[in-house]
Amino acid sequence: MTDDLERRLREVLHREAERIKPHERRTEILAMVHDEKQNAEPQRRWLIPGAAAASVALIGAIIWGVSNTGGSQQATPAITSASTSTTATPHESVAAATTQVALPAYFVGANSPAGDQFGLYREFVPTAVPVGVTPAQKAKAAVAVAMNAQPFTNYEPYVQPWSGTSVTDVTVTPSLITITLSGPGASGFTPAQTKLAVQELVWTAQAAIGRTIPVKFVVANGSPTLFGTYPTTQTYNRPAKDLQFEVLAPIWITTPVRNQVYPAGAIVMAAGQSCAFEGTTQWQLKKSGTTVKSGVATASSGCPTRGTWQVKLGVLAAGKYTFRMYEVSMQDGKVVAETSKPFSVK
Amino acid sequence: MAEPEEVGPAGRTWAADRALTDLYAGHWHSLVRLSWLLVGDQQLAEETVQDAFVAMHSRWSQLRKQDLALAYLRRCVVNSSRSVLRHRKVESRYLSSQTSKLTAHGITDVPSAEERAVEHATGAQLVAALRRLPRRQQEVLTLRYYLDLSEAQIADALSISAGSVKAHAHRGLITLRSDVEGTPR
Repeated sequence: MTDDLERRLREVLHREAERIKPHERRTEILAMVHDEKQNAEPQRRWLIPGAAAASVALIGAIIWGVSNTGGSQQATPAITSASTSTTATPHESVAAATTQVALPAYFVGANSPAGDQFGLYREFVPTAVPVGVTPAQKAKAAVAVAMNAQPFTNYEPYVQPWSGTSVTDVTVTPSLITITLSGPGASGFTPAQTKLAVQELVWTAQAAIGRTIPVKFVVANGSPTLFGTYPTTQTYNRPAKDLQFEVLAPIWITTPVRNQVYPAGAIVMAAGQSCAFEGTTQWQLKKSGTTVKSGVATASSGCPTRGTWQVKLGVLAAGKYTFRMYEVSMQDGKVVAETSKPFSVK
Repeated sequence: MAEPEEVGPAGRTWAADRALTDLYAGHWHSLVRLSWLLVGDQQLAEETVQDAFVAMHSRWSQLRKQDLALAYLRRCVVNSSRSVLRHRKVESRYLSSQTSKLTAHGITDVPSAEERAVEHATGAQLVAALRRLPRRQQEVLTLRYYLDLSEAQIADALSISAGSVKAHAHRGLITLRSDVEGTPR
């Protein structure tokens, strides 16, 4: 029998539950399941909040893997997976088993369709690494991924300043990452782009090892600079938090990931980061090219602090969608930042 | 979704990743909210559910099916939420021994008639009454009226019999009715 009390209880519980907006934690979860150290019993964080906070921060920094489900484009990160194969590198003459993980890699891309401003975007790319991979091996694999934007250029506004260059070695000490490159980088890029090209390797290597220690570059052919500008005699690091807006693209969509498939009936939430005036960005949900929903999102912080935002798209009918997030200039109404991600509901 | 035939650890990890991704997309929000309804702290709720997903992934080779994995997630979330509450109870006992005056004031702070009327209108009174119920009754009613689970599913989530679910639900509703509507128990 469903009486008035039961009906009210159901309503009240749903209303109460809707008061909170759960944060996206898939990155952390996948990081934990793919980090061997975390595969043991999960920590009881309420027992050791300080240590737990540090652990979560470290895991967030390591960022091993966001994946999507069943993406049809082979070049995109499809799903974190594992495989066993044998590989032999110049440094390792014996065959070694590999496992496939999603490595964080940063790419230089246009902030908007105008293509006059650039920033870093982060991707998680399935990559084979040796079982029991060392931090240096992780960093080398991630840097190699970041230097090859080609697989993404069909659908993301990424440029390829490292075209023709490869990473030959990475070493990691407690206080320094050293990246050895085959060459100084491609020519024909603007100073703004080459500055970001250096930063993309810095961010990628640091993310791979989970520590923001300085990065030094060595060019195998003896070149004293990268792109003819950045001396190899100095070390490089991420900017301070309040200056990271100068490097990162203004808008990231972290959920959905590209070509994610949601089961029918699931509540779809979009989430990401932004550095926008007063934290305000606008969004559109398009189905087969037609806008079916739109709105305004407010991030947790306004620029220069990078904030996080969430948009509840609700339960969607089956179909293919594109979620677009953009910022319009208050001065002239032009779109100054824009990014989008396709996903589907089946 | 049909699972691929699993061949060795690689196949199992692949399937576990896919299950995790699908279950996360479909149930992350509702499980966090379920935990939040039980513990009243969003960060703890998120961490509880995060741990449940990690545990589910590591046990995928035993679970292998999404419905079993979802049931496992629910069990983890309810059990861990209960552990959080138990820990918090110990903590609050300690704090109350350190700040007895403040706590005593809080306990005797009875709401006025106007506050009660507002509470009733917003449902806060019902939520407060639910939170005063014994733990099991609270869990049963939350799983039943928030997640709309069947008695069998609730029994599985709480590792108790279907008969116990029925009894806890019955007693819980009687107490709620008495607290909220003033009807005799």
